[in-house]
Amino acid sequence: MTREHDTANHLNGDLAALESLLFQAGDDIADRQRRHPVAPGAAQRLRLALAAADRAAAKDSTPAPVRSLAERLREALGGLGRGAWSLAGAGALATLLVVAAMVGGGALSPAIGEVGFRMGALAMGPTEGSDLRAGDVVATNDGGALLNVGDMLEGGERRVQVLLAPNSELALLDDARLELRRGAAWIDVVKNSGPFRVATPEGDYVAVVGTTFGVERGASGALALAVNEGRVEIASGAAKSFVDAGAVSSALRGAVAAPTAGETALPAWAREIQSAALAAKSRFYPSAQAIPAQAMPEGGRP
Amino acid sequence: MPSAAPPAAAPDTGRVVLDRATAVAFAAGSHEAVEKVFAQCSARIRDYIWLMVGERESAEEIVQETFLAAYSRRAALQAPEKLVSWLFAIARNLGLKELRRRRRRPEFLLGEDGLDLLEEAPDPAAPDVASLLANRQLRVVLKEALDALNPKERELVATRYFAHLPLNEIAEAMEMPMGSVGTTIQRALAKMKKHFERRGFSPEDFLR
Repeated sequence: MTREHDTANHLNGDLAALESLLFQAGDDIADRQRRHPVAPGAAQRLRLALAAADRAAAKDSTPAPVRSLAERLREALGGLGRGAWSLAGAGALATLLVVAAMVGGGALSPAIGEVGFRMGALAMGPTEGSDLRAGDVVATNDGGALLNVGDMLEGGERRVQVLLAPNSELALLDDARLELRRGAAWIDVVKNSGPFRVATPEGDYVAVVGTTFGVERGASGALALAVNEGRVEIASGAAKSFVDAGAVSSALRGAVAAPTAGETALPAWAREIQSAALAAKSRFYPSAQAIPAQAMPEGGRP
Repeated sequence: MPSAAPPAAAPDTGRVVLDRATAVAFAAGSHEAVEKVFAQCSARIRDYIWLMVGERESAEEIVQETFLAAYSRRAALQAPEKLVSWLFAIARNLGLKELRRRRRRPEFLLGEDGLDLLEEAPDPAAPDVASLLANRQLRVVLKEALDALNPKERELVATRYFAHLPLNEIAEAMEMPMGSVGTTIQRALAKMKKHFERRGFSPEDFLR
C-alpha cells in the first residue's frame, strides 16, 4: 500500500530520494506486520490485568498488610476444585521463610540468586535482595515472592525469574535446577541461556531452554504445566513429551498426559499467575525511565 | 545543512490521533479508556517493538506490560496530549530492557534477528511482487548502510521510516529535542547515501 508521508525533514533533493526509498521500505515492513494481527486475546488479558492492578492498589491504600498476590491467586484458583490450590490461612500473617541448608564446610557457597521482592507483610524472613544459595529452600505462606536465579546477565538481571505462589515451597538445587515441593510458580527463563529444569520430589520434571511457563504440584503430587512461550519438555520416568506455547500437560508416576493442542489460550489458573507476575513486576520494577520518580504514586522503586 | 526540522507538514496516516477526552479518562483510570487506547494503539506499538526486538511474541508481551505499567503509573502522566508518546517511551524502555535481558547490546534493529522483517522471505501464499524488499540487492545494501550508522542514528532512522513515528513523537519518546532528531536523521541519511554510492547505487535505482 502507499502511504502519505509527512515531509518533516524538508530534505534537499540529494537526500529526498533516499528518504522516499526508506518510507517505501517501511511501508513494505508495515504490510508484512499487518499480516500478523495482534493476538485476539490480548485485550481480554489486559482487562484482567487492569482489574488485578486495581485490587492491588486498593489493598495498598489500606493500612492492612498487602496480600494482593495471595488474594488474586485465591480468587483465581478457588473455583478449580484443586486441593493443592486452596490457599488457606487468610488471616495468618504472610510469611516467607528461607531456610539455608547444605552450606558446605562452614564457608558460604556462592550466591546463585536473590530474593527480588516479597508480597505481603512478613513476620520473618530475609529482606529483599537477600542472596540465595544452592540448597536453600524458599517457602511462602500467605504471600508470594519473586526470586531471581541463575547466571547474571548484562544489565544485572539473572536469567531466571520465579514468581512463587502463596503456600508454595521451592528448593534451589543449583543455579539451573529447582525442586517444586508444594504449590505453584510462574517461571521466566531467558532464551538461549542454557538448560533449566524444575522437578518434583518424585523426579518428574520440566526442562526448558528459554520460555515462560507455569508449573503446579497438585495434591496428588502430579506436576501440571502450562506453557506461555517457547517449548518445554515434561517428563516422568521414561515418559517424555514436548509441550508448545499455549498447551498444557501433566506428569505423574511415569506417565505424561498428551499435551493439548498448542496455540490456544493458557488455562485460567496459569493466566492468573501470569497476570500476577506481570502486575508484580511492573509494580516493583518500573523500568520506564521516562517517568520521573517523584511523579510516581508512592514513589518509584529502583 | 538546512535549519532544524519544522513540524510535520502533512499527516502521517500511520499516526494515531487520540481524542483528548479519552486521554484524560485514561489518566483518570478509566478501564474503558485504557481499552480504547489499547484498541487504537496496540498494533502500532507492537510493530514498533517488533522492529526493535526482532520478535513478534516478545513484542506483544511488551505491549501488555506497557499498558499495565502506564495504567499503574497514570498519575505520572502530566499532559494527556502526550499519552501516545508516553506509551511509546514506556514500550521503548521495556524493549531495551528485553534486549539487555537477552544479553544483546541494547541497540534498535541490530540484534542477530533484528532485521528479520527486512529479510523475511516473501510469503509464498501472498507473493508481494510490488515489494521493494523482494529485491535482494536492495536489502543487502540497505542493511549495510544501517549497520554503518551509530546506534542512535539507526534507532532514529528505523523509528522514523520503518515504524512511521512522526518527529514530535520520536522526540518525546526518546527524550530528545525535536531539532536534534531532525539533524541526526539528516546526518544518518547522508551517511547512508554515501554507502549506497560506494556500492555503486543511487537510491533512485530502487524507487518504485
